[in-house]
Amino acid sequence: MKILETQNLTKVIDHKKIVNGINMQVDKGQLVSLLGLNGAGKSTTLKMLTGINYSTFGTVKIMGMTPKNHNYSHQIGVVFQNSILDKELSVKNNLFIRARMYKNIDKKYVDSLIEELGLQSILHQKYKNLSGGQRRKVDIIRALLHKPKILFLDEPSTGLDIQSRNKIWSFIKSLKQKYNLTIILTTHYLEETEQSDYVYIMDEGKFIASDSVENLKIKYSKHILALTFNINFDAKQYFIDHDIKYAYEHNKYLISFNNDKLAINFITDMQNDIDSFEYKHGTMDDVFLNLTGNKANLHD
Amino acid sequence: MINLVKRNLILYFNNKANVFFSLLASLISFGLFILFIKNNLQNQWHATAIYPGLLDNWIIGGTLTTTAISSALTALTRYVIDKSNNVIADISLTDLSFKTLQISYIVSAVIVSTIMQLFTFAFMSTYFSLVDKIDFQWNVILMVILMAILASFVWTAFGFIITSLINNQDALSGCYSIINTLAGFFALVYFPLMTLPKLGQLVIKLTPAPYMSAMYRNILMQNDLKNAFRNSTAHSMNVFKNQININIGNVNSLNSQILVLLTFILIFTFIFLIVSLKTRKNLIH
Repeated sequence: MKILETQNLTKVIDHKKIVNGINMQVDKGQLVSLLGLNGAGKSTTLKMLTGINYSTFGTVKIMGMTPKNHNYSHQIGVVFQNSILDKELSVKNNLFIRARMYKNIDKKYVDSLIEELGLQSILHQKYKNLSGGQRRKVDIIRALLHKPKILFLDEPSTGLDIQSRNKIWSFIKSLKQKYNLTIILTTHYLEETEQSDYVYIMDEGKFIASDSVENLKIKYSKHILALTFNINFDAKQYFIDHDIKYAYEHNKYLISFNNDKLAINFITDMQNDIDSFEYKHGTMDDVFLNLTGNKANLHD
Repeated sequence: MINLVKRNLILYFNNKANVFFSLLASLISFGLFILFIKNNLQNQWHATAIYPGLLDNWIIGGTLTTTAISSALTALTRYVIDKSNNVIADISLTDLSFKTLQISYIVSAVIVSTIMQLFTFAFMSTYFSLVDKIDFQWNVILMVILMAILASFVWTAFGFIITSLINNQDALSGCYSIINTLAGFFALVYFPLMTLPKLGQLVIKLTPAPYMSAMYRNILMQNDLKNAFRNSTAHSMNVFKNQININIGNVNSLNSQILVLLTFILIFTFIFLIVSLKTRKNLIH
C-alpha cells in the first residue's frame, strides 16, 4: 500500500533548481534511503516531504493529503540533522513540553514509549549531559510522541562514532518492526543504505537511480574475483586466448562477474591452475561510484 | 502556549549570562550615575541637593527604561536562536499555530522584562534608602508594576520587529550592542534633553524611551516634588519638570505619556505585522 507519493517535486532557490523534478513512491512499512553527497539536495527534499518547506513545483502526498492539510503533520515525525531539543532541560522536560504542544496526545503512549525504548535511566538527566547516541535516541522519541505513520530522519548517524551509529541503526530497525513505521532517511554513508528496502540515489537535485539494494548492485556493480595462479601457468595468454577482460593489481589478476554462478564455474574450470582466490561482492560503494563518477569523497 | 512560555522562561533564567546582559545597560547607567553624574546634576539643580530623593528617583526612572529595553531584547534572543536551530520548524509540526507560537515568545519577553524592571526597581530603591536615607516608596509599587508591564510591551513590540527580520545570532548581538549603547542616552539617563541640539532632541523624541523615563519619573518623583515645591508656584514646578524631563515638550502629564507609549505599541505592532507577512514564507527554512 502506497503511503507517500511525489510527482515532479521541484525546489527553486535564487533561480537555481536545488531539487529537480523528483518522483517517489513509498510503500507502507518500508525503510527508504535518500543517498547522495553533501549538497545533492537530500535535506531540501526532506523538508518538502515533511511540509516544512513548500515545493516550487510538483506535489507531495501522504495518504492522499498535501502538506497544506492540517492533518499532514500528524502523520509524520521528523528528526532534524541538528538536535532541536533544549540542552539545559532534562530529557523528561524536553519530551513533555513538546508532547503538550499536541492537542490529543496519548500520555500513556508517551510513557510506554519512554519505557519500551529504554529511556527511563536517563529521563532526569539534562540533555546536554547525554552521549551523542543517547541524544539521537531522545530526538527520535520526540519525533514519535504523536504516533506518526512515517518517520523522517535527516542524516541520523552523522557525527556519531561507529559504535553509536550501529546502536542507532539497530534502534531504528527495532522501531520499524515494533511500531510498523515507514521510515525515510537521508544519508551519505553508503554502507548504511544496505539495510534499506529501497534506495534513491541523488545527484545535483535529481534521482539518478532508484531500486532495491540488490537490484542496484546487479545493475551498477560487479562481483570481483581476485586470483593468483600456479607459477607454470601463463594467465595473461589464457585471458587473451579466451577474450577475458582482466586487470592486474598487487600481483593479482582481477576479473569481474555479473553473478556468483559464473564465478563458481570459472573457479571450477581453472581449479588445477589457480593457486589462491578472493571473491568480493559488489557494494553500494561500487554502485555509487559507478553512478556519480569520481565526485564522491565517500567517507567524509 | 503556556508550555512554550514556561520553557522560554526556564531557559532565560537558567542562563546567567542572559540575566547579566539584561541588566548590563542598567548597571552601566547606575554605575555612571553614582561615580560621575550625581554631583554634577546636584550642582545644576539645586533642589536635588536639598531633596536627594528627587535625583535618586530620577535616575531610577531612567534606569528602569534602559532595563526594559535591554531585558525585552535579550529575552527575544530566544526567538532568533530557535529560528536558526530549526526549533521553530519543529514546533510548526505540532498543533501550536504560528500565531500562538509568536504570541508565546512575546508573552515570555514581556514577563522577563517586567520581572527585570521590578528587580532593578527593588535593588536601586533599597540602595538609595540605605545610602541617602530616602523612603522606599511602597505606595507607588502597584503603579510601577503596571508601568513596567506597559514598558515591556513597548520594547517587546519593538524587539519583535528586529527579531523577525534577523535570522542569525551574530547579526542580532551586533544590533543589540548598538541599541544597548544608545539606550541610556535615549532614556535621558546621562543628561537632560535641552542640553542637546535641536536635531538630537527631535531624534530622541521620535522614540518611546524619553516618554517612558518621564512616565516613571512622574510616578516616582511626585512625593518629593510636592515637598520640594510646596512653597513655590505651579509655574516654577513646571519649569523644573521641563528641565529634568518629567515633561517632554507638550507631553507633560502621566496620562499623555501613557497615551504616547500606547501609540508606539500600535505603530510597532503595525510594522511587525507588515514585516511578518513578508518574512512568514522564509521563516521556516
